[in-house]
Amino acid sequence: MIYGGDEISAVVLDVGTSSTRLGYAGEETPRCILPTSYGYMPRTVKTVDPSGMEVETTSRDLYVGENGVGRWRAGMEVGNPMADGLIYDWSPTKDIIEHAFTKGLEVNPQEHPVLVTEPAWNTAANRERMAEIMFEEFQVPAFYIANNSVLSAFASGKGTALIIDIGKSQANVTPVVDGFVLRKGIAHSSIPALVQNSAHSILAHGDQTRPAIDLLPYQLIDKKQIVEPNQPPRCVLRDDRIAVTAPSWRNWALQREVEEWMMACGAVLPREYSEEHARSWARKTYEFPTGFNSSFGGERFIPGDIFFTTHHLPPTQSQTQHPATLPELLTAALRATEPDLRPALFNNVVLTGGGACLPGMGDRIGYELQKLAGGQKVRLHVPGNMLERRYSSWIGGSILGSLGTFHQLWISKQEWQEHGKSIVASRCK
Amino acid sequence: MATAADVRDILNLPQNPLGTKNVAKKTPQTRKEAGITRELYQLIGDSAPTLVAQYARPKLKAKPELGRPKVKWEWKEFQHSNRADALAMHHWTKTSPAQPEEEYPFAKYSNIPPIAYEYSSEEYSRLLEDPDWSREETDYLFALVKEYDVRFFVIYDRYDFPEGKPRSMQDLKARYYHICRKLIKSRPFAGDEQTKNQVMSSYSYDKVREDQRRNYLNGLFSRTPAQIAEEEALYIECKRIEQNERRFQRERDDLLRTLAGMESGLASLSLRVDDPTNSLPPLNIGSRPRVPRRSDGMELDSPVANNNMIAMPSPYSGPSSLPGTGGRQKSGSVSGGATPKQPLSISLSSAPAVPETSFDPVHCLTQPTAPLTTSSLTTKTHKPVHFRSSLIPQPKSSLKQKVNAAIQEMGVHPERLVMPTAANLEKLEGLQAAAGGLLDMKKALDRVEQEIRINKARLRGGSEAGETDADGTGETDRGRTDREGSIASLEPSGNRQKRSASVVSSAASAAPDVRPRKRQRP
Repeated sequence: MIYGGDEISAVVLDVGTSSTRLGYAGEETPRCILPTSYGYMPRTVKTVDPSGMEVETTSRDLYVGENGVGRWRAGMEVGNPMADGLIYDWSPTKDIIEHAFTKGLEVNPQEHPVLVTEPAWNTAANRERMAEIMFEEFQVPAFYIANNSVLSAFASGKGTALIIDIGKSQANVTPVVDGFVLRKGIAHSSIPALVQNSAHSILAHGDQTRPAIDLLPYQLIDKKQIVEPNQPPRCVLRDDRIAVTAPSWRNWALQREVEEWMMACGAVLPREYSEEHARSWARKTYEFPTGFNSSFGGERFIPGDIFFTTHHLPPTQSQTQHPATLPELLTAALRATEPDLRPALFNNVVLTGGGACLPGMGDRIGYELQKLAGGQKVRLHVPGNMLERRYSSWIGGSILGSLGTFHQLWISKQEWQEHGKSIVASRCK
Repeated sequence: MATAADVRDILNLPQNPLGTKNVAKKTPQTRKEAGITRELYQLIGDSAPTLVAQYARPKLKAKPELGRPKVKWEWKEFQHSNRADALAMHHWTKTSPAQPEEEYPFAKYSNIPPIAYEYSSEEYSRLLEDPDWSREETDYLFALVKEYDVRFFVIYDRYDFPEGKPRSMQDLKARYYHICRKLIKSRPFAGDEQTKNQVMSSYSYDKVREDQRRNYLNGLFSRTPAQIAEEEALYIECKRIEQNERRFQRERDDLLRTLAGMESGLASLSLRVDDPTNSLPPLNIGSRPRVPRRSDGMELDSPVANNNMIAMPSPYSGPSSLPGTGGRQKSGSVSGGATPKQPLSISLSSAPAVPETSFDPVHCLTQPTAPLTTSSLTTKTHKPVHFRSSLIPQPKSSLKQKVNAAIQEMGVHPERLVMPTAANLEKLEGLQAAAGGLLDMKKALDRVEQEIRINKARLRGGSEAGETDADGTGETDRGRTDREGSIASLEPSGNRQKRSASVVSSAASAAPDVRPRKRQRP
């Protein structure tokens, strides 16, 4: 009551490309964090045609949750319902949400109002579909859909802010004014995917000091022996498994190994990349599941630098269309906003998302902002707690959903039945 | 759990030592005593009834009485009064039987009265027609304004009128505020005229000016880093040139004054240029401690920090300290520097009137202006509270009598200054200085005349030897008595007469005027 909070046991659901977060509004962190990727076994496998047609059929067995995609199963394919940060495949999404409700949080969705997040560039059809699923499939008593940039701003205690959100598949820069997204200022690109690819190519190509690295997941390795750095790994592979592993699962596992390496070794230089500067930093040793280990020096800064420049890309790729880098996104977003607003935005920049957890990202973003600001004062807010930095949109939803003044905005089931889909757009501005 | 029977079994003791077979019969008697745990009781069994009396319920510390009744919370359904539907939400509340139906405590925060204006059709057709705006678009604008509570950034962002012109935020604001002003003007107003004007002015919006401001802001934001650096460098360069210029000016004036003295005509002007309060406004303003200025004056401030300071006028500069309004001479320097060798330069050094006071005629206040840092005069910055009568100037004690006598001779009573105002004091000081000067002059004149006479006598002595000697001395004696007699009778011939007359007149007017004295120089 003192802080304006009044908990009505609402539940906040935040679906991202990498993970789906669910938890009670009013709590600090989500109770349950599941991978959004799911494994599936096509029923009619080894029949006529193992292409996309089979994937779309409902006759597949889904494996969602912690033991879904992460556990190896013979012939299990991997899918992800998200594309460009938006949900495009709704049938597995339903399963993932249901799993999160019943197995993750162990609640009956019919008893809890549900607050769902959406990216700033979500389509009207998509949010209406989400409302429909919530009301029709899960029978929730009340529903609200809020923008995750706005929620990130709320999580850092700001009404007006410039949100820089670096996710798994999308990075976006969104100006927020008084809790409203300025739609003209939204700028997003798939630069994180490019970063991921470049990290993969760095590992997959050897150089004079170390050989190319075989990125096998531990699920496919039987035994391994300790070897000296940069020596070829000595491990026994599970050939029985490798033979029946689906390519999509293999790719998913490979990407995860790259991500693990990025989390352990990746970093961003505080200024523009230069070889000698990068080499002056401490090297980091990392051991892969095969037992191969090496220490990484300057190269560990290259993927992080691709967020900011295209210098490292091969010339053919950088000349063609490449996704916008973070400075380009910032420039685009700021150019679209009114000049009167820019000082306020520069004063309230919030950095969030999983990609923002890369060491040194805050300093570098601050440096790039200062270059764009033209003498303006820049104040960057980067949550020190990594959990807060990654899940700030969920945390903002948790704050919003537990406010006493918010409860009049819920779309109730009765309203949904009376007004239909149009109420979503009129209520959730 | 081991029971008594088990223990007996382990220790090879016979079962049922008391020989009683009927266990069920005993159960009512072996009621567990309070204070013994169940496990212990099972071990003891019913064989140690005497011990039971020693076990008492352990006494715990009494709970403090806080004087509050027990609070009970319950998971209660509630209705939100601001909602049109009957959504039943639940929250934890303290159970209070007294108030069964209470309004939701947060409902009151959401009842914000609408702040947007609305107009009727009649008003629109009468007042608000605009060739640039259709009625539909105006309605659309006002609906948006209402929806987003006059947040124009958001309104502009969401503004999407089908088949409408592209509108800038200034267009939207101008239209909205124009309509608001018209409506306020035409409608009956509850308050008085002044509040109405205030409300009107709060809705004023000058689109042309806003456009200009926006363009200017855009220009500011679109500067490249190189341009910013150049701008900063230019600013610094500009300041350096300005300071150099000032230094050159000062040095040139100093030089001129040293070489040409009075005839440079720079006296008051150059001192005003020297005045640091006049030339360096940022140094005296603001809370930061004043840094002693180096002689080369290379003290630069960043352009951002001083942007507003530069525009601010220095409190001690400007027309209030006009040259000649109040020249207060330092009595110490008048008499102290008065060496008989250079009688004319004495009056010079005291004559250039440094405007040290500025007078505010409205409030009858005399403010001391900032002291000169470059001046060779003594600078006493702090003056305690004092009566001005304590400041009545006194001539140097050795000359006091003579000066007073000279003043008295002109019909002014030297000791009687009834009202020692600042102006009066200045006049008195000027008068005393002039009298002092006059005395000095007279002394010098005496000496010169004496020399002339001696030289003449020598000349004559060279041509005619003996008898002229008596004549010469006689003349000398007479002249001396004349001169020592009175100033008024001091009227020798020619050039000398003119000079002394001007001294008297300047003494009588008591104004430290420079011009008449300048003519005194031979």
